[in-house]
Amino acid sequence: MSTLTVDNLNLKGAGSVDNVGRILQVVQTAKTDTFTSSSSSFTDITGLSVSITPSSSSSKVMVIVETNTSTTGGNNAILRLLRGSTAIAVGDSAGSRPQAFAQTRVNDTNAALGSSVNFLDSPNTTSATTYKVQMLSQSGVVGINRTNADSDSATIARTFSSITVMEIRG
Amino acid sequence: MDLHKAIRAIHTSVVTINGDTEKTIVATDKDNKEVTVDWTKVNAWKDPNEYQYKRAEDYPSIVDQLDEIYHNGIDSWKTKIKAIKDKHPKG
Repeated sequence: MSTLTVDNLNLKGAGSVDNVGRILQVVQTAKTDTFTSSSSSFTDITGLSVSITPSSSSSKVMVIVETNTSTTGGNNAILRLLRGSTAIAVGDSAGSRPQAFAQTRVNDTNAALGSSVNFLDSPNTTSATTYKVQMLSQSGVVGINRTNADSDSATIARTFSSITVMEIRG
Repeated sequence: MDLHKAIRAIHTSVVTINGDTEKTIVATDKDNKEVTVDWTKVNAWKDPNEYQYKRAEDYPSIVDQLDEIYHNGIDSWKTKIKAIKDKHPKG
């Protein structure tokens, strides 16, 4: 094994190696309570949004979303991530299909399903920027952090969801 | 009690509900207007499907039920399933 030791490494066009890739700030919103919706259009999930003000317009923002969803018997919950009012981290447009980062379907009323997305965004701004998660229900009620039945039982959990953003120096 | 389910049963205009207790729950309609919850009715509501959830929780997996039938026969399987139904009766 060899060791490369340098006092300073200058990257062509990017300044010092010390200046790129560094995490400048991290902000997280944790959702510990429950949410349900019967809306068939995308609706904000209360408490699953976060704001960050990038220090430079060249910064990247790493967005990490973790959710736990439940649905009513064999119907779909569809989740999407937005920067402001713009959907990001979505699949390609294809006919009338919703563009989303996740779709879940839980057939068991006592079950929930975890979904996550990691997306490296380039917001190109130094203004406060809000990222949020929306959900729609194909039919019936969709839930966050709970099962559909939400039975009061030692084997049926309440769960946790979160949205985390990290500003990364560009 | 599942407060979200109870609220939806009493207030059919509700679209979203956030929160877990009488103090924290906020319910909204299709126009995102807050719906005033009638907590007296909500707290008095009984879930007609509660027995189903409890039975579903106690039933063995389909794999285990099939294994029970294979090894011990239908009557043994029925006895075990009936015990769960009796433990959580309808209504």
